[in-house]
Amino acid sequence: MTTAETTAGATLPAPAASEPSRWKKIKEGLSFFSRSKVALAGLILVGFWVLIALFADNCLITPRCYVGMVQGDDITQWATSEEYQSWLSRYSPVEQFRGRNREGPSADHWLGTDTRGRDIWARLAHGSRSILTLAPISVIVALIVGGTLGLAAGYFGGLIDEVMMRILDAIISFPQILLYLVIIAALGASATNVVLAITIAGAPGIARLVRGLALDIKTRDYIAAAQTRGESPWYIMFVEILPNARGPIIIDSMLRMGYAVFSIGTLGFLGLGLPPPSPDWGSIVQAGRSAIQAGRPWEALWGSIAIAMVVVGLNLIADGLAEESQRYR
Amino acid sequence: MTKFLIRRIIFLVGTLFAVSIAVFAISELAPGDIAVNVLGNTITPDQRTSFNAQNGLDQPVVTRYVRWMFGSDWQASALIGNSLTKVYDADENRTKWWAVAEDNVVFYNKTPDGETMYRVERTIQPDGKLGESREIELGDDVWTVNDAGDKIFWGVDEDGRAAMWVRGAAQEEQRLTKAGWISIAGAPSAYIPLQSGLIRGDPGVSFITRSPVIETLWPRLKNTLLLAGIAFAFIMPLALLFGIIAGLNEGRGLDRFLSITSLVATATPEFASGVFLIVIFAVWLGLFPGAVVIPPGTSIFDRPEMLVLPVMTLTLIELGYVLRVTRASMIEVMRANYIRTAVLKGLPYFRIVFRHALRNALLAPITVIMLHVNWLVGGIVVVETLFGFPGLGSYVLTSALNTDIFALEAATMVLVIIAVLTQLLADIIYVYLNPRIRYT
Repeated sequence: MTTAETTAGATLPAPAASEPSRWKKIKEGLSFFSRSKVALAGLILVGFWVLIALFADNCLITPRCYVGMVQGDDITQWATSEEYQSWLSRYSPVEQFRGRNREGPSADHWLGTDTRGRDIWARLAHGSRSILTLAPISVIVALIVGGTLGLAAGYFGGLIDEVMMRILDAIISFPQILLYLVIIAALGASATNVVLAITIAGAPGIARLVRGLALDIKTRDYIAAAQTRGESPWYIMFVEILPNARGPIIIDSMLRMGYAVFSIGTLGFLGLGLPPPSPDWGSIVQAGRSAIQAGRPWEALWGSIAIAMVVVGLNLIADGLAEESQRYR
Repeated sequence: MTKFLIRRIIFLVGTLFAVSIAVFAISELAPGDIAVNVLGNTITPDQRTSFNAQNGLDQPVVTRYVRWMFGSDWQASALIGNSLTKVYDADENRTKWWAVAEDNVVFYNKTPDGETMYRVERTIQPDGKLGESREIELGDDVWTVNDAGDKIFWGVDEDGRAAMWVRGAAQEEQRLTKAGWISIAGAPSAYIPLQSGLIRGDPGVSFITRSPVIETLWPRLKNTLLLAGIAFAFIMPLALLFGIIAGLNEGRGLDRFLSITSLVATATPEFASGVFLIVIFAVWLGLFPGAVVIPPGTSIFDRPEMLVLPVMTLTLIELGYVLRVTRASMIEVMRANYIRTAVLKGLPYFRIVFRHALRNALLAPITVIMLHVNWLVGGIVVVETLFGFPGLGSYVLTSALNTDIFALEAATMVLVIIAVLTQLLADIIYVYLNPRIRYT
């Protein structure tokens, strides 16, 4: 505790005459991880999978691979094309090794093979992509929707606030898993619908948070100044209020990111995730579940470990951030 | 307090209505055809039209919502002129609707040719079974003339639906039986599927299983309440105890350990921690069964060890959250001035903790636990699926996957009602525990 306090004091930005350079800002951001061991552990867990996702195959230098990703969840088309090369994943995620079904870890297949004889490590490496892109996208969409609603409710107040909050309260009182189930069951399982479901479930919470912050900030003098200047309400909301509310929103988004990964994994596990043969982590656990009792738990086990790593990592980072912000208070 | 309660209850009823509309709208307006889903995609347009008419699916959404929520038997009863009732038919092993003729006599109507109406009467015997059937030919005067000039007759058909026959209309009905599709002559022109409505405890008849939803839902709900109750009984004391210990040792190694462990346990998705537990305790150590299998005729209590792993999984995921809230609350209370006064007064440490701090520190976690029921519902769906536990959670999932809409809607409503009621309970407990708050 004492060391943390002294370091925190030392890094407090000195009243500098000029704006700090971009490099300095990045360095400051990184020094947060060296201060908080918890956050560092989280960064390592998440960073591992980010690296794997980036360098699983030669996707980064082959623009054509993005087309396949965007067009659908059909990974087969890309992974069987001629340009495809395995890098960190070692094998193609759809290649089936005959006669090597449900094997345990070996030198050939580090994590073993699944029911169809596919390399589990290759599937997990490719599966990290969908989960690491869908989670931030859904959080950002939820932030845009929830943030706008919350800002409007908090800033305008009155009837808008009352009506909006009652509706959002009703959504919050609804168990989230049911929201997912009903939405996905009605609309079908696809990447877009997963994002939609997480947005609908997450936006009310964000709106509540942002509304609270907006209610507080709108009493400040600089808001009154902006109003006197004759700025439009939207300018005040997005340029004056929003940047000053960013601290709690960032911490909340980090937690939500963890929860989004959690939800995407859960949806996959329940059979509502990305359709096969997409190497969705939740679906991998679901597929391997039946083999656990037969003494071949590898597929389910590694899938669970991968998801747990990312969710726990994101939560640790959020926890570190929250602790850090409390220290300054 | 009474005023607050009344306001909350009115708000609660309003919320439930809003939720019911939302649930109904999402699940009914979804793309995809219920007829295709139930009968397969090889049906002809005729068969689909007939199915939709028989099940009231050709009606506007508002009508269908009203029937689902408030029932359709009173509408039909007014048209038929007799009261309607549900009777269990032991021969067919199903409960269906009948019109009531007089005391203990029920009947349905049929016509072989669309000209002569028959009434098939059966007596309800004292033991609740139905007696022999008796056919009565009805005269010409039963037909009434409607606005369009057609001669019509409202009655209950053989399948227990309210139905309108038009005289002389050679209507055919397509029906899927065990022997395949058959077409029945002298069929009604319009139907009202009978149900007494969610509000009166009848969520309808499942399209998939053809049995009333309530019959399959109720045992599942009991199982789930049992599982959740046992899990709750473990989570509460453990989380509060560890939370208080962590809060009292703030910043020390023990606190760090408890906080980080609980964070990891809570962050790990239920299915992942469940898989870890199964692998460790069921596969490697062989201590507990890794799945819940209840053969017909036995109950969970015959092999209670089946519940160990599901309860453990739920405990893991819930424990951390409550622990962290308790810890934060305990830290805050221990820094309060009145605790400092007690310390300076020279009171023993344990007396301060148990007599002075605890009551105030437990305020936050107890309400949080109640508010956390929403989260517990999510955990239950996943845990029940993972362990194959026959509860409401897996029921919701299967009905969602099969688009068994009446079952899905009913189960969803039950879970939402539980969640909303516990939230109300949390508010009441909070007011009761905290004398500083008085709602008016």
